Amino acid sequence: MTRYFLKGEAQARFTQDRIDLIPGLADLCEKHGAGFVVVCGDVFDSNHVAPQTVVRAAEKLSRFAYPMFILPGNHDPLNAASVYDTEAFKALPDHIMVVRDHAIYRSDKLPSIEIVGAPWFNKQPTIDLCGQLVDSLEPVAAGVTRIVLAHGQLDSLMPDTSHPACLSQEKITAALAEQKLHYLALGDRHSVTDCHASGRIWYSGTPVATDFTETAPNKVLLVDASVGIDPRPRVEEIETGQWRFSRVQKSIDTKEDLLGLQEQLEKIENKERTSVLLSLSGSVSLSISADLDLLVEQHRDLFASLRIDELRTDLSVVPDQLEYEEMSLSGYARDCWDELAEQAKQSGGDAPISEEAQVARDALALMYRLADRGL
Amino acid sequence: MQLLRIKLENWRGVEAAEIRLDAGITIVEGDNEAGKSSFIEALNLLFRERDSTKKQELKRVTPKGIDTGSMVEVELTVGEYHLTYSKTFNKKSATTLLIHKPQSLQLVGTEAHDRVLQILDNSIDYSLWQAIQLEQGSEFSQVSFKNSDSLAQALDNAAGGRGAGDGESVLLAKAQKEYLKYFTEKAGKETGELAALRTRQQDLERSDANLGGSLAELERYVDESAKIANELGGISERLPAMQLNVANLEKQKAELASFQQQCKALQEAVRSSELQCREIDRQLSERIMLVNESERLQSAIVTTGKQKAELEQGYLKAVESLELATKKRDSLLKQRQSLEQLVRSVDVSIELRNQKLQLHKLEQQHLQLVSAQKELDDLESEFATYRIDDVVINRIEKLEQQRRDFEIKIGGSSAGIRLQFLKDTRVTNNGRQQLYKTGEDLTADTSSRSTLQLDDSLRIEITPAADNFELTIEYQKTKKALEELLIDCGVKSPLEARAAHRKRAETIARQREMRKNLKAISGDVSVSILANTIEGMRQSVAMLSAKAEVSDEAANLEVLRQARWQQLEELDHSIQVARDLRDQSQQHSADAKTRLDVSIQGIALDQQSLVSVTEKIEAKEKELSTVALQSQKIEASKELKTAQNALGTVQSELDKLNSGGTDLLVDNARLSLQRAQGDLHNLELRQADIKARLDQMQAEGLHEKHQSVLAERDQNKAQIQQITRRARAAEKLWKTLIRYQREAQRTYARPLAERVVAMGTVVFGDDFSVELSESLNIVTRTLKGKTVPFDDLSGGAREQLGILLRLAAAQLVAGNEGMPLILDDTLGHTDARRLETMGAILNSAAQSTQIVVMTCYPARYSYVGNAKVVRLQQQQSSLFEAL
Ligand SMILES: [Mn+2]
Repeated sequence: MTRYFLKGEAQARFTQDRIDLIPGLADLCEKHGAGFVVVCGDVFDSNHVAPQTVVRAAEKLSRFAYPMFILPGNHDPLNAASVYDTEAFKALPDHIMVVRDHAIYRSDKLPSIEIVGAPWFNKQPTIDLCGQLVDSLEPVAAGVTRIVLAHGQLDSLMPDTSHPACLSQEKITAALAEQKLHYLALGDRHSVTDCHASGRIWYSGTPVATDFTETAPNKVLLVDASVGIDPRPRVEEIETGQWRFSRVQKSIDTKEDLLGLQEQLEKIENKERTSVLLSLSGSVSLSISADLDLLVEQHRDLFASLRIDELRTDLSVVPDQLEYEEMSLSGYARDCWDELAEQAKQSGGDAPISEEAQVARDALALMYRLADRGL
Repeated sequence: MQLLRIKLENWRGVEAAEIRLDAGITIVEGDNEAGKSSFIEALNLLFRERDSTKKQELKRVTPKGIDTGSMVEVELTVGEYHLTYSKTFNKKSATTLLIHKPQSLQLVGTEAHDRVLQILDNSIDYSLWQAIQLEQGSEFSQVSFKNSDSLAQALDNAAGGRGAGDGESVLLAKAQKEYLKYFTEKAGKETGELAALRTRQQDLERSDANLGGSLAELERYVDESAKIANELGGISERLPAMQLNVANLEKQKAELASFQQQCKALQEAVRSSELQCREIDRQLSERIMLVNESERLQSAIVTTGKQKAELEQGYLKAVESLELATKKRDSLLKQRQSLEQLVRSVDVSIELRNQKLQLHKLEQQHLQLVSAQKELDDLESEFATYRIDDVVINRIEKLEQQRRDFEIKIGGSSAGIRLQFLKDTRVTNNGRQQLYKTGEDLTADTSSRSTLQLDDSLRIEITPAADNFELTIEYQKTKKALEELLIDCGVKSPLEARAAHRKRAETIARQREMRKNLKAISGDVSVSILANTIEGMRQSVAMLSAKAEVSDEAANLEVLRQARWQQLEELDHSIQVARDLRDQSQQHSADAKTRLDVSIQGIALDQQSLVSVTEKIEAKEKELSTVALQSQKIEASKELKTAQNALGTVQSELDKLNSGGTDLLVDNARLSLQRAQGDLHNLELRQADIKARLDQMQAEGLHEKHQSVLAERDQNKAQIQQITRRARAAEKLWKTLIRYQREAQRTYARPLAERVVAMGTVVFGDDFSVELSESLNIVTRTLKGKTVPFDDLSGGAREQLGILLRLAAAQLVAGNEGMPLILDDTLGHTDARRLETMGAILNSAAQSTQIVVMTCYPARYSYVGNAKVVRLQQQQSSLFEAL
């Protein structure tokens, strides 16, 4: 997955971490005694990823010791270009299974487990794939635990449920009641979500954070939904990823505020796997503004990325009297300064600063810098 | 500073020369090569170079073959100083400074040089002084005031202290540098990093579009593949049913074929049975026909026999009738012959009587003719005695008249003629008609020839008398001619001649009358012919009299003849009736004979036919009895019925199988199957093709490529935004700064411009103005509302403005410590009128500025009013002078 704000080596690190998650999962299985892994779609960003991406992932999977059930999602649907039909995937050991149809998938190692999934066959299904699947299921035989894998947006979580591919929660709960399944593992949403009071419908989120918009990313779910564990399955959230996508909001008016920001940034751990988006507000002098620029400049390379969110930043840079005197301008330079300062003032009250005024402020700051803080 | 005196020794062509300069304007005249330029050169080098300099520039000033070096000496006042300063270059080099005021002092060498520079630096702007000098040939270039602090100071002071200090200049330079990081200097177009980023951005957008397009294509293939898979599934599903359908239909078709064969065989059987039946029927009806014919013939023979007997009877009767009719006709014909004999005898009697009458008539006529002929013959003989005819009598009368006329003329007098009318008479006198009553007289004149005609009875011609002699001769001739004629005619006088002539005319008239009578009697028949006819007729009468049975004297001959004819006609009618009757009978008998013959013939024919029919019947019976044939027919009908029933059954089976539709259905099912198989094949090929393409495209890793392009594009975009912001700040700062700087510059340059304008107005006119650049050069000149860039001005205008600008600069700094302005041979491009005004300007400027003009054309400066003129002579070398 390519993130535009990650540069060069940060992007490489991100990509590598996502691949390394596979052995990481094996370790977690061992640590927590998990019997198998289900992955509910979007393992790949696209069916058209580079062959080396597929090969690298397949290589890690081929070493994965636990049964794994992979469901094709909307990003990697089971169509003519599917990654799951590549030689690399065909060569995987039998216990790494791609759910290709509505058949019941089993593993020799898991005699009492049935896995059924609703794979995506294209990017725009026109029906509720999960609903279609659960409708077709027969009740589970006694002593068998059935896990259903599905991908997509659950209608109960969507503001607009008119899309025909929305997953009907009603159908799922009905199927649960009819003992057609014991647990529905959902994919697509990047945030861990417990969708139903029964505790049997969960989105597991994403094991590696990918964006600033996610809540509770970097997790996998450890689930025990065995028959007999009533009334609810045991679901435990386990931390996986180290990547953080953090928004930092700060009001800056004084040098102290700037120092505070500096402290805050310095406190952040694991900076090389952290993307920071600064949202700043306040009114600062030219020198503080220059210091802020310096601060950001100095920290930029420490983080995976450090940016000021221009859309969410409203920081007025206004030269103060001290700075003006400090420069002791004379001649036409003073006339120039006065005119720019006048233009910079033009935005009134709380209204967003006009572009012209912004340019004037930037010009003032530049003049301040060029004048070397005094002529 | 003021130059008082300049002296040269051994300087290029000048062996030794000295000029003394006025405080105002000094015009140094001299021909080419006189050394004017050497003074300027020497002056410059004196202040600039140390005596020890080894510069080539200096080496060249010293003439070759001279022991001493080149010497320049200047006496001047500057500030509080009055000094004499000299240098000798190249050989025996030396520097000497003699300060006369404020305190006398002499310095030499480096010390002297440094001291002079120090003095100058303190008092005047040396670089400005350098700048304003106008050397020959440099008049078109502008002045470089770059390092002129004093001018700057002067202008700054004049502008009220708004001029820029070092700080501003540095800031301006930095701002410009910052601006030029992002924009080009002249066009202000984006450049450097920013432009590169934008270019890169365009490339990325293009890559994005390309990759996006490829991905979309890929997705299209994926979609098509899914569609094909779907279609393939459908076809595969349909295929077995289609194959089954074909098999069923083919089976059905085979059944149909077998039924059709059966049907065909049965149809054949029915047809042959039908033929058999028909043949038997034909034979049976043939036999019936023969029997019928035999019966008919027999009965016909009987009937015809009866008819024949009747016809024979009829025929005999007809022959009998014919004989009777013939007899009757012959008796009537005999009666007629006797009656005809009677008629003929009466006719002979009548003929005889008629001929007798005729004969009598002819005999009478004959008698008359003979008597008339005799009378005529008598007259003929009498006529022969009368010889005076009309011609002769005319000649006699004419001659008598002539004779009488001659007698009158010869008588000698001509008497007048008096006519006395005895009755009313109409007279034509010489053509004029007039009526004369009884008793009237007419007297005619005879002297001229005239004519009087009385009624129609008398014409009187009057001829006047002629010569008597001639008349007498003529008279004798005429009288003799008359007497001879009368003798010839056998008469004695004209009177007798006239009576003879009258008798002849009467005889002719009687002859004509008698001939007419003769013709009336005979017609044209002559007497002899008539006599012959009479003889012929007498013989005929004799013959008839012999034949006549009835007397021709009987009165009723005609009636008798009439009665006999009537009897004859009645008899003829009876004969005709008898003839018709006989003809009729003859026809009847012929007809009866014909009918009888026909009947006999018919009977013979019928009997012949009967024999033949009977033979045929017997032959057929002999071949196969009719009974047997009838039983055969019953058998054949049964067979036909059976075959027809079987055919009906098979036919209805066939109908049930829909024979026509089955072929179509089989064909269609086969074609559908083929098409489905074809589709399947094509779709599989297409699917394989798509798969190959997908594999190929998959290998490219389009997703990552696209993602990385998108990422770079977004990064680039962010960077562009950031740099654009910086660029706009730099642009803003630079443009604002430069605007204020220019503003300041303009304020600063204004005093200089004002001075140029003040002087220029004199030269160019009232509406003259100039614009000065920040480097204090003339940018444009405006005259009469027209602004022209300096470089586009004429040479004359440029040199004039160049001088004005130097004068202005010199004057501007003159307040502190003026400096001399040296003009080397300028105003070469200036016309006479401008020379005058320029002269005035120079004269005026010289009041505050020392001016030295070097020229080889003193006339150019003749307009300078208050000038000191120094003549620079070509100096002979001292060597020559010594000689
Ligand atoms: Mn998804």
